[in-house]
Amino acid sequence: MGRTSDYELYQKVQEENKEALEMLYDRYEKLLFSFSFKMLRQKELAEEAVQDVFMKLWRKKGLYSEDKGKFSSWLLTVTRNACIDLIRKQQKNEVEILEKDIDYERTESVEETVTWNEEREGLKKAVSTLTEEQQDIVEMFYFKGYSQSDIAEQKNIPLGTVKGRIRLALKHLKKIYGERGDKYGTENLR
Amino acid sequence: MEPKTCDNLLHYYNGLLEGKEKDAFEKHLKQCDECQEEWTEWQDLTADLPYLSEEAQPPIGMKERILTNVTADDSSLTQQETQPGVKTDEIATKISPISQRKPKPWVQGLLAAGLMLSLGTNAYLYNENNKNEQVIQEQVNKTFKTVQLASEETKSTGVASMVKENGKMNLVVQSSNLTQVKGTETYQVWLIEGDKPYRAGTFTPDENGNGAVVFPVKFEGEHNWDAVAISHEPTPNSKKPLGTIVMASNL
Repeated sequence: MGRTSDYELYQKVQEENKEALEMLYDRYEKLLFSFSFKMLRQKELAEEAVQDVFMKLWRKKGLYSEDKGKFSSWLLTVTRNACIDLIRKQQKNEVEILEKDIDYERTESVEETVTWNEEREGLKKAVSTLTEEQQDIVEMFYFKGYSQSDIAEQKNIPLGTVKGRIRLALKHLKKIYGERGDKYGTENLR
Repeated sequence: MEPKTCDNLLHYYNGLLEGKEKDAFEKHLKQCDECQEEWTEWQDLTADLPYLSEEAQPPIGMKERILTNVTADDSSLTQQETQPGVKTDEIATKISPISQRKPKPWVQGLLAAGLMLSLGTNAYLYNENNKNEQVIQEQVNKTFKTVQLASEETKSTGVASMVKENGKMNLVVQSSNLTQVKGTETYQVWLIEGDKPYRAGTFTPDENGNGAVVFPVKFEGEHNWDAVAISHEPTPNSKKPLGTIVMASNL
């Protein structure tokens, strides 16, 4: 595959190459936006999160190096942190989150874009093997950024068991998803 | 190892530590092998989860807004901000998508971000289309409330202003680089309150793609306008927007 690697693009971005930034943006816009939207449930905030991520990529030097693992995994971690920051800011302002009707992009980007349908389907299957409680716990912990005590309260389980339950659920998920032996899953096992 | 500090790992992971606590944990993490190991484990266990996200369509114009804003050179922002006569509080923001909600506290943050975007976009437009933008800037300065309009898909730009004249409110919309209309097609301006659009003037652009409308706002009762939009309509008679919204902005 003769495509420029993420890392090569990232290095060019470090040199303030706008074309490389745009290529990286096109590659990850949809994934990062979709992930942010899943976490924030609000398009404007999701956009803000994606902007924060690219702001970091552009303005802060040397954040990523190959010893931090795959670029995509790192980028998703940065994105989750940006979302978590926005969740916390919102909580301070006691803001309700409402989903709204807004215009959507009508045209598909012709640029190279990361797609993840296969991964999603595989993961959803794996998630469906978790108990309902486990699914809720993963959702609350990872996507909503809940504290362990909030999870304990909402699920009516002892606080001391929350961490263990999250870990168990995630390990189960990893095992089932990893067993599929698909390209993405194995690549990601570092 | 300090058990109490180690217990903070998941709090830190979910951004629940602040200030001193956060600093202390970050310092601790660098030194504590167990925490580092656990940290790596959590990263690894959660690495696939983002791929559970359903595909969501980014809002129109997101790419332009983000790239403009991210690469906006600080000096160009300062230059825009200090331009004589332009009061920043008068330049309301385009470019966030139409909101059907009353402003909430957090909106202020977005508005501030939007202002940056707006200024960034101005800088971009200034380079792209020097003459037009200067005309627009002068108009902006005289008005009661003004919003910038821009289109994602075309080079269309515009300015919508609420102008109070002898106690009467007029909506003045000026737009350039519009796509030409065919047959009975027109551009229709809408004032939007909640989810209800009100017709607020119809126009067709000249051969250079410039168009403008002055509309006396005289709807019965009190209105609190949320947004202004321009749509490309198949006929001049649409009671509701039937065509494509080409530009829109919160008011």
